[in-house]
Amino acid sequence: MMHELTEPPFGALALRSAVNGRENNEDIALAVDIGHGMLLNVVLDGMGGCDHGEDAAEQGGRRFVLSVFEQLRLPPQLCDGEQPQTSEEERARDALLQALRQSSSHISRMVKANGWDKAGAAIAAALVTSDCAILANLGDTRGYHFAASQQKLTQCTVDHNVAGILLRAGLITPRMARYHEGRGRLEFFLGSAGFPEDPPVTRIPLSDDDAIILCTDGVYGELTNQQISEILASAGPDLDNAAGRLLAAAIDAGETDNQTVLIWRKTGSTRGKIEVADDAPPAGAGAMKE
Amino acid sequence: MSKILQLMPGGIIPLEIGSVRQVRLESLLGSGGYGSVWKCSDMDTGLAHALKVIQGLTPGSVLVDRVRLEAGVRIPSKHVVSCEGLFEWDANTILLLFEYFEAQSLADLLESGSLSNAQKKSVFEQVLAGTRAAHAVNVIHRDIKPANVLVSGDLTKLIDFGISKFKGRGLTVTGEMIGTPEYMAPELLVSGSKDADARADIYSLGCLLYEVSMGLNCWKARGWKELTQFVRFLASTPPPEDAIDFRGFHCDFVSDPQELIRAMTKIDAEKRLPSVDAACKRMGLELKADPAPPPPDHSRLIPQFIVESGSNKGAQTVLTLADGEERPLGRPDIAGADTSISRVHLLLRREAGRFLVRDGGSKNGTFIAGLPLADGEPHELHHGDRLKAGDVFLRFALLRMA
Repeated sequence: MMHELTEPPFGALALRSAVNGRENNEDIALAVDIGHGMLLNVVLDGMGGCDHGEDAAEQGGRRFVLSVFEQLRLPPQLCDGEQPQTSEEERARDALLQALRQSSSHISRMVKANGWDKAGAAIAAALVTSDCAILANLGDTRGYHFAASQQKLTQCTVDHNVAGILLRAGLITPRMARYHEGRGRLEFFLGSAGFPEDPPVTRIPLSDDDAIILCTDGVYGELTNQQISEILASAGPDLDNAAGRLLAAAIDAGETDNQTVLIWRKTGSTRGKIEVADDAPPAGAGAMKE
Repeated sequence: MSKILQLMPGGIIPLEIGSVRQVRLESLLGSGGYGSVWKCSDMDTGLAHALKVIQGLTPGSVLVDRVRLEAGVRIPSKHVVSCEGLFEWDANTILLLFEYFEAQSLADLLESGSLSNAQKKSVFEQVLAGTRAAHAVNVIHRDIKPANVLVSGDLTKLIDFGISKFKGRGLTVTGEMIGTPEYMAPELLVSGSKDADARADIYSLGCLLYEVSMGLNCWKARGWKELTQFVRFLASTPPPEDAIDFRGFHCDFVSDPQELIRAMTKIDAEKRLPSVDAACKRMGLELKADPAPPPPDHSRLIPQFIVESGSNKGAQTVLTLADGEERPLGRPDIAGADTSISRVHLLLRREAGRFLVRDGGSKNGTFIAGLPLADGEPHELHHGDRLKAGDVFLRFALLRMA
């Protein structure tokens, strides 16, 4: 397990990650200050039920961050001074999509070269600036936006699993989707052969105190959006408390999978602050029992 | 201290399956979210087997029971790679030993385009024969596709029957690859494997026949690249009836193939051909019937149900029934206390020397030839018939009175 976090240039950040009922933690979390006022948060969940899931998550995350940095920070052509006529946001959006493609084919090649037969990782990423967040994902790792003024939680990523696909087409209800046997079966992930036709990227404008939450299915799988929203609302600015309580609530609901949650919050003018607790006893465990 | 499961080439695994006591893993044949399949050799005899390792099971879950029950059912067909037995390595891990069949997959053969029409016909007929034998003992494949069809010379065998196709909360591994949804019946996708019956396999067989005929699968023929496209098609209005688009279709080795495939791949399972027999009839194909001659003199026979697999294998429920009498049977009567059997699950009636079974409104259904008995509708049972009550596989037999 590897988590890499740099101090955010703005906003506050909290991470919680736990092995839970498994033998090892195949989740990875990264938060990287890539300069120019951009913070890149990434959470990955290794697939395949073997050691290679962790390798795929680790290498996929590394490749993804490098790709985003390369696209946004290095000039496109050394010889050609002409800059593309696209907005910063469009560039960021394209960079995230391109990074998903690049890291996905990187994992495919790695799996093939090592003769692993199958491995992959689900990924959710958020590139945050002072006024917006751009989220992208492949697989079933999720990104949420918590709007502080309305205390409202919105899922900003699309689940690329069978249950999510059926739900979006209206063939099953949200309740059926939570318990559907196709919930854990992913169509797209880092290392999958295809790439979704609908670009898995979205832009969210941010107000003060809004939060962007990235988490693996071990966190949200047993919880409703309502429960997640209530925990975030009651924890307020104490991000570590919110993260710890999310993990605890999921365990209370019967979750046994690896759990990783990365919460970033826009904190107006205050200097960046970071809190990391890895496998520490969750704060306020059991407090959210209904 | 528990033993270590050495899942690597050269790894030696002690087990107890039939006469096999120790195997050495030779090479990885495949893997998925459930675990992996290995070519291995018996350390005593040197004979090759295939070993399937199912990991991440929740101890004591219904799933473990179902794997145990289904793995023990023998499918009497040379067109099915048979499961030789099961070994529980630890509470989370089950090892299944299979016959090893050195062959090429139909997926590879179709890609190379090397099959003649006569070979295509023969392969498809053998796949039908294998599926029919499995359905006769109430085992459903749930994942028939070219990669699960092995061909060596004139002999074709289906692999991966039933076992480990169970998905659900008993299997703790999440984040599995989707595999190949192109052959998956809509009801299997939407409602799940638990509710899928023989007709889900019929759908896959229809898709398989399309692909054997055309050399490309029916999704590619429609230009579909992802599950979302198929699912949107299913959800479109008016609801579509047929999964396959036959523009440009041709097939030179079956008569009236288009109508056959269309009938096999109806989106609504109720409108689909219900059995392999029905498909064979359309093809004018005669598969030989299972010999199960009923013993004569029914008045002196005692009916019984025998559990076919699992820890209660061989357990018998012997019944004395007067003519015209109907007996309700449920959990206390069949196979100990398996929770998949309802309190009143099925009813057996003796009528003029015949034995009729009907479902008693059970929660998990009573199956014959892989199909659920319709509500209250009686079905005549003969000596040797197989039925499935909930998750329990049963054989019906008639004992001669002493």
